[in-house]
Amino acid sequence: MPALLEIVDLAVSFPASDGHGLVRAADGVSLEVPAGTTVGLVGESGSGKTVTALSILRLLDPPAQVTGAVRFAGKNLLELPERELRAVRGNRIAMVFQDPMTSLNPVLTVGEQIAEVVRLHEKRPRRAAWARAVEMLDTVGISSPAERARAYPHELSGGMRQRVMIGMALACKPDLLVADEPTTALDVTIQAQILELLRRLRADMGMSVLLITHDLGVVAETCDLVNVMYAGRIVERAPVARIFATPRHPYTLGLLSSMPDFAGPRRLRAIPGAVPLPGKHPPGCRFADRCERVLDRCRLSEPALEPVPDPADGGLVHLARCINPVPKEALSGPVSAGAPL
Amino acid sequence: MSAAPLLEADDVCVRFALRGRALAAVDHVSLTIDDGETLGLVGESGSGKSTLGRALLRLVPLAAGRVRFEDQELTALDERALRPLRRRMQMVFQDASAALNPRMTVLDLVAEGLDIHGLARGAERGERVRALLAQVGVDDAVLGAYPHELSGGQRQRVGIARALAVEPRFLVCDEPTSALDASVRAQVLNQLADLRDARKLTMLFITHDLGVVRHVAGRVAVMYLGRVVEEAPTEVLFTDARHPYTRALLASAPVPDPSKRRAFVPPKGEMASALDPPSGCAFHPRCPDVVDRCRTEVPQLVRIGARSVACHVHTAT
Repeated sequence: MPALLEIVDLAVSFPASDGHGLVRAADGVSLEVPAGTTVGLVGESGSGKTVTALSILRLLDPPAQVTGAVRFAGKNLLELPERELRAVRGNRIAMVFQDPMTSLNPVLTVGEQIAEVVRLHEKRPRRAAWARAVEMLDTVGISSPAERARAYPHELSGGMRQRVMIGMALACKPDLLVADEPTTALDVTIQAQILELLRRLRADMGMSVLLITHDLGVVAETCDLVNVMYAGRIVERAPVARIFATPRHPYTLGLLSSMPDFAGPRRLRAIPGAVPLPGKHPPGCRFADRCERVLDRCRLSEPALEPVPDPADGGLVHLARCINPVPKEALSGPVSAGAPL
Repeated sequence: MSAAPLLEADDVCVRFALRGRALAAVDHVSLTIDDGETLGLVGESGSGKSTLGRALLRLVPLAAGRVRFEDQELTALDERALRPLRRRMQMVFQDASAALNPRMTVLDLVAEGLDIHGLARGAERGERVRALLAQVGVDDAVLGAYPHELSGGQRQRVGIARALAVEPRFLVCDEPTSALDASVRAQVLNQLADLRDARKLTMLFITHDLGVVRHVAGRVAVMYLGRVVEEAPTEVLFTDARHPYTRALLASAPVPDPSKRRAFVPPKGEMASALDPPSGCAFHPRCPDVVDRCRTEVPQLVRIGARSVACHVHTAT
């Protein structure tokens, strides 16, 4: 099946804070979202995951510079005239952000805001657009939707505002939803409700999702395919079961091992050091300074994102940017409790 | 072991005035923390867990109840009498960038407690600060730096060094790792555990993160809308929770294991506002096991074996 969205060699650069040259926040990022799947883009702060997501719909303003290609429905969104791009935004690709309070207009009722989206994209009359807004609030699980449609954002809880955002994003039945940390600001029981909602809507609407998150638990519960980012690069890509059972990049293994999960008291295997700032990474592999498997060669040239040899699949589905990948049986302890797959 | 607990809260209430109405942020909470113990305090936003932590240190006024620390009743002391005790009880905050004065250098921030309590001056002051920074894993090259020049992880470590400078016996950690990235969070959690063991600290560890609490605490109290609804040794709580809210909380936390995806129904609705709390048990509008009595009568914490539960339905053994 051809990919619904294909990002090819994307780079996002910003002027360096010292005024000299550019730094790349995302560098040579290529990934695909096959139709009907949920693809995760995981990383810590500074990994480049959010700038990658924002680049898809050209939501980054100058001085940010974006190069590469974002192919969607046969077109490169990065080169599309603004008029044509507007037909894609909201209509075919919608986006949900972490903080709905800053994305919602505080002086319009939530019903008006959803109706406006519907009117803009579907040219429906006012009354029909309002009816659709109420219907969407119902779809995203807001009780008494006709009443709540008349509420202003500040009158709703954080969980309800996020439901409104999702309702607005999905009002025009997009083919792709880009969700940037959609549950990070929410409490855990509300997060569970929102993730459940996204699962249900994805199945009902046949939508694809690109989920940007730092939370490996959320990834494990929702994604089919996972991309792990570090210092502007995708360092590992695999189906979700593989990422958790047999991570091959030492950074992915480190991330998993540093999770204080439900295994009880044991010393966490922390990754030493900190994520390098954009433009300040070491030569060669960007993870070399923090890696416990580092070899001299790692510092000479940066490895490519390549299939890791695996007799189980002919080495096609699991990619890592590493010349000394973690052996398959390396993950010990509770995180591997889910193996074998 | 029947020594008196290091800290004992008895029927503590904290109220805030909001839009002319009284809001019970902490509602009749009693708990004890033994010397050397780490008690986890878990709850969602608005549960009152942070306010309770502050009330125990008398950083917010109590509307009712008593707090005893080292056999002294804190609630009976005035600010002046409290001061020597403040050295013995310190706090680490979630947002170190808000808790650290942006105009002070790392050296002065960490030394502030030493200065206030007259513990060290001159060369010794600098030495003590260096030693503290080494213990929390911060390079002393940052001694002259201001908070905004530090990374999030470094700021949080400076916050910890600052709290430890006066050699407290009791430390309240309020979401100390929630703002940190995963790899740095693990470093800071390990360091906190090491420092606790080395200094024989007693800790109240406040967090919304069940994974973190299971990692650090020997015993856990769960709060919902101002009250403790369940309290148990950590492993008992994680393997055999009784209160429907505790169960919902545990079931809602995403498990980092895709082979364990489960079809589960998240608890419906949201936590009510403390301005307008439900009658009876505050969890009853969301509870799958609700019975009539839950709507009218507030359940009290009842001790069952090693645990305590506040639930009309699940107190039968």
